[in-house]
Amino acid sequence: MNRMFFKTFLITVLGLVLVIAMSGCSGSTNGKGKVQLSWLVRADPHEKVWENQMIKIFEQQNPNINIKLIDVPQDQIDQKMRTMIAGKNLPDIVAPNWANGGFMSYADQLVDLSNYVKKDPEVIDGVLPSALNLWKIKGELKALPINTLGSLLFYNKDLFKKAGLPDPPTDWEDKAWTWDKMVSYAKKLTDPSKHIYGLLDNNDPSVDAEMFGSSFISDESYKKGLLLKPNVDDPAVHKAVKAHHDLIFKYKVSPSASQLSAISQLGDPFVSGKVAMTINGGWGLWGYQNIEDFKWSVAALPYVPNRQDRMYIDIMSISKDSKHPKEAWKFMKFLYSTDSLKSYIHITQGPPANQHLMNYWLDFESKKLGISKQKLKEAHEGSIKYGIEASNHMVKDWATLIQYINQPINAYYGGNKSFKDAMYETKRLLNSWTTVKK
Amino acid sequence: MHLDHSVETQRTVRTKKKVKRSPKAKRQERAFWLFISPWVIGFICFTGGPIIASLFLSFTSYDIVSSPIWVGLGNYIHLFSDFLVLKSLSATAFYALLAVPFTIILGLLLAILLNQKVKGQAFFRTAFYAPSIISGVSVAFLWSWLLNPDFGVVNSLLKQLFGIDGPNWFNSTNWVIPSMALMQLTAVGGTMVIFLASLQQLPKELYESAALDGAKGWAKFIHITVPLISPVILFNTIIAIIGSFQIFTQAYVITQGGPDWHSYFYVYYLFDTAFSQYRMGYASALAWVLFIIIFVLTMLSLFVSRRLVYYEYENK
Repeated sequence: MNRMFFKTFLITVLGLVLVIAMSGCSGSTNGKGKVQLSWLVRADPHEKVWENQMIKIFEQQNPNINIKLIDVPQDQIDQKMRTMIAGKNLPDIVAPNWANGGFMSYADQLVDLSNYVKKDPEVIDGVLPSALNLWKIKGELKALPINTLGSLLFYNKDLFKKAGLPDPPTDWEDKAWTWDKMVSYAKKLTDPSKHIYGLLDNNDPSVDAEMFGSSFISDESYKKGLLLKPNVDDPAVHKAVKAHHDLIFKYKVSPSASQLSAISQLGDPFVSGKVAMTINGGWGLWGYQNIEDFKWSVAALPYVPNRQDRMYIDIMSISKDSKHPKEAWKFMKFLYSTDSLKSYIHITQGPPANQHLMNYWLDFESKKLGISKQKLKEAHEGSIKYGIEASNHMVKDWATLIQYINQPINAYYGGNKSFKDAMYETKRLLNSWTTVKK
Repeated sequence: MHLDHSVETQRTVRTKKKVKRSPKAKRQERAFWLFISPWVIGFICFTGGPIIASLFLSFTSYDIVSSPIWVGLGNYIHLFSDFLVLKSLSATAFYALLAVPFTIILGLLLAILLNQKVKGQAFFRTAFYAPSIISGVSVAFLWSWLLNPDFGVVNSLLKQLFGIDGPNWFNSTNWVIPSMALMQLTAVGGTMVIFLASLQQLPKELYESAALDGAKGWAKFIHITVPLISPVILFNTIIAIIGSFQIFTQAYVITQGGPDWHSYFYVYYLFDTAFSQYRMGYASALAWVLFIIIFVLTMLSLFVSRRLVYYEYENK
């Protein structure tokens, strides 16, 4: 009886181990001759609707290909991707910019799409060259952009009207719309008795530096995608940091860290009407669409010489681990087809990288938001014209570098550190990273 | 001599048994290994193995994606020149300095209060213990509200009752660590329960005879209670020291290590090094240094307390 029991037990355990091992070995075909592709995406409720729709249609059109969607919370994508790379099982299709590490951290793991694109040129027909060339490393095209998103100024129209102020311009060439003018508007919009602040600059100091035409890292570092030399001593960087500080302490038009924490308790302070203007990524367009208590609109960022606008582009790539790159490309081609991109616009509201669809997006989005098409066009196009792709996409280890920038400078913004000490420490920390061996 | 003989006899018996094991004994041994194997495999794969692996990795440069590269003592040498190691260690030590005595004194005081025979004793015990079983993240959010300088309850009360402008709590470099230590108010339940259990074991005769000799409450506490529970105080102190050096959640949720690195605790730095910077080799070195620090502090506590702790059984 006992012997029988042990035999059965052992056979069961061995059987289970075998099944698990076999299932680990398969993955690229599902046993029925079908090719199985995996697609790693971020867990976003809107995007997931589009992704599922795409999979459904593609599988109907290609019954021999199965797509497995792997959705991961955005802040965990890096860990997931790193462990998958170590296990040589990175999904066939990935979106490297949805990982905090960004494109540059994973470029080595991606397939060169140049030959595919040569064979199927319609895939990139109409794509903004500036949004496409970013993903070329040593002549190899590593990704295709799906959207282009700049940073914009969002403002509460009702508060502007109440303060008797004209709407800020959407024209990025309007040189009368300066930083000082924006501050003067903010002063009029600030109402301490109601805890309403004129302006909230949601950006970290690195984006502020770009708005003032500079960067915390050298141009060469940005181009090579690796911190080679900090650029903290640049006067434009100093100007940007001081300008942000002045908003809080000199002009008192922006909330301090504790005030921001207080007014954020009820949600986004722009949505709750606690700030009249906010500088934010273009996702505000759909993030603010459900505001019912007041009217809002978008404008250009103020004119500053050599101004740059932080741009965020989402991309798709095929991983080098893919056992079925041809099928993966077939799916990519499908995702970048006009119908798929139209569906993307409908579901996510993201502005397309493909300019052939820009008019379609402007029509759809302007109606959805109740903003004039012309204004939206001007605001969006300007943001792309002056756009510089986000450092977290283009520079390796940006999560660490931005922490080295944020900690000392936020201490300065919080009144806990002098300007001189904050800049000195930032430089010291960034310098220390250039010598770190990983 | 008699003892030695008996031990020798037992050994002989065991040896004989080993040689002549019955099929049943063999089956039982196999069954033992079979049924304990999930735990053994789990331990080797998820605890013992990683501990040994981390020791090896601490001498390497390893980013998960590529194979580890041997760097010898490089990681440990780099620790000494790393500005953030110093910052995070000083933040952690300062926190431990405040939190450990606070936890012990508060835990003991609460235990004494809850040891009194009053109406609703069970309710009070539950009420004071309950917060310590709530998730650390939820408690952290709760405290960030309570101690918000602008709308928090604490500063409002300070203003209304005493006319004092409360501090900036988590936003101030001077107050962020005391604020985190204050959060122990809701985490002291475990310590309190251990103290309470030890207080309930104390012999009543000692108190009765002390009372006959005219001892009052404070004298009884200092001369009877404290010596008798001193091993428990030592135990709780060591646990509190270990816990303090592992502080992470509060800073991760509320301050993200700020302001100006003042709540950037050692484990937070370790976490960032491993899971944000993917410097697994260096993170392993940081982890082993933390282990050594905690080990030394524990040994130090045991050494210092030798003459302060009273073990009843030693005098029997």
